[in-house]
Amino acid sequence: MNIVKIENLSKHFKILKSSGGFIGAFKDLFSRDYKIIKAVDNISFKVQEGEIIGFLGPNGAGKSTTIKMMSGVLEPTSGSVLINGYIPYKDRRKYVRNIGVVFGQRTQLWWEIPVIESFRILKEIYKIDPNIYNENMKLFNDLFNLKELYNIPVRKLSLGQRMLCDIIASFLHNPKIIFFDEPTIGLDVSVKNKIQTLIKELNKVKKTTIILTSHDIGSVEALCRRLILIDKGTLIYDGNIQKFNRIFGAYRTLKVELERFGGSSIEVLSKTIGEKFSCKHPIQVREDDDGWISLTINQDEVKLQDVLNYIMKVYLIRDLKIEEIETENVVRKVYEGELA
Amino acid sequence: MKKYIMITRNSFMSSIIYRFHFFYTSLSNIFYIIIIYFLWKAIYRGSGGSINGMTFNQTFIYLALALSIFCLFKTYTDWEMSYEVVNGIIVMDLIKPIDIQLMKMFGAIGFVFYNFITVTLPALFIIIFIFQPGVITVRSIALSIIPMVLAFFISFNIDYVIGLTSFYTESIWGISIAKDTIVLLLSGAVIPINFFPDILRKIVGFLPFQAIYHIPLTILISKDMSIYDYLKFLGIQLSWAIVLYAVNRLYYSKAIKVVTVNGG
Repeated sequence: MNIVKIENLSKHFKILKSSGGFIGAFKDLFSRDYKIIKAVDNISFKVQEGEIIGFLGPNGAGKSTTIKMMSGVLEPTSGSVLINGYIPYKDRRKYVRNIGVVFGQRTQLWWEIPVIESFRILKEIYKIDPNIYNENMKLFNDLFNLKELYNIPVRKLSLGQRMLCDIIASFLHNPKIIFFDEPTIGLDVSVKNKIQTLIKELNKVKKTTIILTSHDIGSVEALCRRLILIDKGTLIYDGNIQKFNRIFGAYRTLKVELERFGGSSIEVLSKTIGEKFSCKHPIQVREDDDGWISLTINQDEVKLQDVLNYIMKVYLIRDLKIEEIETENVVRKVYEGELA
Repeated sequence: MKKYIMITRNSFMSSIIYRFHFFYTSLSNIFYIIIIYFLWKAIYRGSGGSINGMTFNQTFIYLALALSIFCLFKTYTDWEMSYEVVNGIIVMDLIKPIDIQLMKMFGAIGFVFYNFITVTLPALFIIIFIFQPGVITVRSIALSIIPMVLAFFISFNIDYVIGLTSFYTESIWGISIAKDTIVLLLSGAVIPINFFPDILRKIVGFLPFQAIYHIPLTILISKDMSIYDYLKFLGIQLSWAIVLYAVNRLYYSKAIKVVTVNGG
């Protein structure tokens, strides 16, 4: 059964054009010069009950705006949203009773008081049955044992601890669907893993539908079977994560910092590498702002080692690192038709 | 209903956590009362006992209490709402099955309890036992309880209407400062309304501000308030309470459509 049905959803913002500078700031006081930003542009998709789906996109792609429309906070400019039988922004108060929302940047817990007090107040706000409340608290204890955090005021928790508590809080009233907006933002790898297990476990036990946004491929891969990729407000891919992985899993970004590279140009390097390693998906060579050179390599076609060996022969390498492909590069490759 | 009581409880608990703030607000208000005392003592020195029909004792007690009520009702609802809109925190309220106006009001009530303990109680203690004005009776205290509750309701709704304005303007710094000044002046909290020129007094009569300070204070310090006057005062307060509440409901339904949620 489809719990989420979104058709031709758009959200346009009218924002004041900023003139910039000190004088400009005064000009803006009287300016009526607006421009329209299409934060979300004609998106349609459906979500099945119990699914975990990942919204992936670079910063500013429109992920958060979509989540805000789905959680009833923003009214869409056009298009329709139907979730759990409600039109979110129209029946906000009835609708939000059965959803949970976690924003990685904010907390729904009360800042000054201990975590457990926030849970108690949520219990009243959502009118949670005492039995269900106790059952859930027990489940959280059995699964994750966070009891020692409960009596600490939220402002004294670390970001990771607070996030764990926030996620638990969002499951407290047994919502049908939960939205996670960047739940792992700013966290280190071990906490990230902990949060991913937490979400995965709770989804398994409670069969809650979960929609999660991220700008980082790793966390979407770890949790979701289905992926929606958006960029500049439009949906560019919606489908199986395995297919996605098969194509992008092979990619690595090789980053090198070269000694005395200043003299030769990036175009020359790009051209020689292109000639030396010709393949179906040519190696992209790009110079970053910080002077590093990144080469995006498909390992199914070219051995990373060969590329590295070649560079080492020609240039003197000061430093190097190997990373997974960045979301921005994925987006670029999707535009180039690689997933089609 | 229980959820709103929990909100009151939590807002009280949140405000009491900052200990220095607690002591500082207590002290600053007491200093202010002492200043009022000496200032008006000097004004009354050459007057022969009574100015505009008020004795020194009545004027002093009126102003000291007005200040205490001002501090009692100062819950920063407008500042808080603007802060939430500017920083996008307002989204956390919008995703809960809760009425924003009631939520803010019950949060403010928690704050009022805190203010009562830190500011009003010590001030009352000092006014009654140190300055011994002798105009406050048990009867007048009892009579002023309902007007006080209504006064809070009106005061809250004035804060809330400014807070809602931040849905349009985001920052409300200027508006809020202007509101504080206007309320203080036109409500008779800085200068008793009896001291106003006739024309101003008439204008003030048509505004809601006097219902916050002038009405409950007059009831509190008059020895022989007739039941007719009392009911008339209550009627004025009640009408303002209903009008402001209705205006805010309407305003909210418009403002919620334009609120932008910043960040994230």
